[in-house]
Amino acid sequence: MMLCSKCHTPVAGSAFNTKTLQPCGHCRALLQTEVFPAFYKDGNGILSNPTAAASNEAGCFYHPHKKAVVPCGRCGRFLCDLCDMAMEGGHFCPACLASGRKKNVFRNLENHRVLYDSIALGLALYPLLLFYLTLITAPIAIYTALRYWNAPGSIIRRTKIRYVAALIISAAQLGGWLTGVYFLLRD
Amino acid sequence: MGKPDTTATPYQRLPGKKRRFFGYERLWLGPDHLLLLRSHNYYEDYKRFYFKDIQALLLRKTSEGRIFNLICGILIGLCLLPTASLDKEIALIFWVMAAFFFLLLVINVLFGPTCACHLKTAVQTEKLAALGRLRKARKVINRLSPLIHAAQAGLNPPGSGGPAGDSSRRLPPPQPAALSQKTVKVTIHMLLFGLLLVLGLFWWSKFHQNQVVLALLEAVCYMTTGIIAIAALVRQGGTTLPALLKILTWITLILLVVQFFIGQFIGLLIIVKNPEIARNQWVLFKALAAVRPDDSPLMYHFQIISVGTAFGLGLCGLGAGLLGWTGIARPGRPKAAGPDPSPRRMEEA
Repeated sequence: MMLCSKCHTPVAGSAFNTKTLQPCGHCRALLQTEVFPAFYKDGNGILSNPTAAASNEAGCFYHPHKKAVVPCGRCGRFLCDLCDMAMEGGHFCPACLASGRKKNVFRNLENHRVLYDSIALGLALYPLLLFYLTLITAPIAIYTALRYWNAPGSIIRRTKIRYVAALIISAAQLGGWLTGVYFLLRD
Repeated sequence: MGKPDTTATPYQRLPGKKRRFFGYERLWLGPDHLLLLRSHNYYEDYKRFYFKDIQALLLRKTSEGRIFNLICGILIGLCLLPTASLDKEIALIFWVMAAFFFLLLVINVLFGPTCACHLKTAVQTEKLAALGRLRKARKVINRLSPLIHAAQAGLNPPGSGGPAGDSSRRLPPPQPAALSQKTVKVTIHMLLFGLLLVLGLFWWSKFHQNQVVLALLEAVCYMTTGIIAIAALVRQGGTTLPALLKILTWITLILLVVQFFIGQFIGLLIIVKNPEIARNQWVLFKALAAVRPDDSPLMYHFQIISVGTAFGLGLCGLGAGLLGWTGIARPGRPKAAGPDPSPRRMEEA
């Protein structure tokens, strides 16, 4: 059921896929509703009522009374529509998917990444506001940049520019400190 | 077969970005899914919506943009009001403030009307905050629709003749009352705006007389308004109260906070001038009560703006409550006979 996002009442079917704003029948909020074939999937009973397995047909490993439609791509167990998890071009059972997620086999299941390049750059830049802090943070920034150079960064960008910038800025800060100490000792 | 290119990202950036205090939210187009990226500056969270799972995209035009324009317009007016009677140096400050608000107004107008976009799958409805502008949201939908239809090509219901099909037959008839809309009392908001009007009267009375009794009453009224404003803000969170009422409550709190800091600043000035009264709170309070708005032109105009804002907010808030913008479930209005209003005209509005 498609509900209005303001008043949570059902949106009339006549308002679907009109490409224009239509007033909600209840709250009059202007809505544009784009509905896709998957919306009717449950109504057709594809997912909600998997075909029952006949006596001479293979049943699902997890639901023996339901007809198997595909084997798992890793363990080979027979799976029904409900248990079939399509991922990166293959079909997997829930157990293999869970273990694959733990082992980082499926890239598309990754939902969190730490951005070490941004951390290194932040460590190199922000302490410049209080210059004395750079004596501590510059080595940390260099360590972070080198330690995590090969760690996966953001999923949407692949450059090392932040690491490079962090290294250059931190090296310049350390160079400044060394120069200062040199002149201090010389005088 | 060559080695797969691991340096190129498979994602394409989609229009729209929602900035937050720490990070942002943005949509990316993947080969078979839509990626919702929530950046928190030093880490990122991802949500993937596979094209084959997306059931619907729902756009709702919102009034945030218009409310923002209204607020900017009022602030410009309030900044320009005192410039005629002020010294050039002080008037310049107000001109700069007015120019700033005008710039915000122009930017907001250029971005176009605002909207809320929701993505529905079989198990969830996710708000896509990145699509906050109608124009950009439509661009994204136009780009996604063919991809989603292609991914769901085998799912067309038999005999439907297309994705739109005869959907009205499948849906249960619309119910007269909202399903999950709860009755929200706005008593506390009405009380807040009523008190704000009283507070405005107290501030207005400062132009005519400075009595300690009045100052005491004003202080009590001020503190009560502050407490009720916080209570109203707590109460309105996650409710179906209209955006206007929520925004007015926030502006009320901002006004009270600004007044508090101005009061603290004046108190500090009095202490600097007369350090001996710093230890006696009652004497300090009396000295504060004796301060007249016309002691300095800046304070005079600030007091006028405060009184105007208090009355404006109070009246708008009470009006919003009394006119039925209360978020309480209203009976469904039947559609007027005759042709439906033109959607294009409504969009232009």
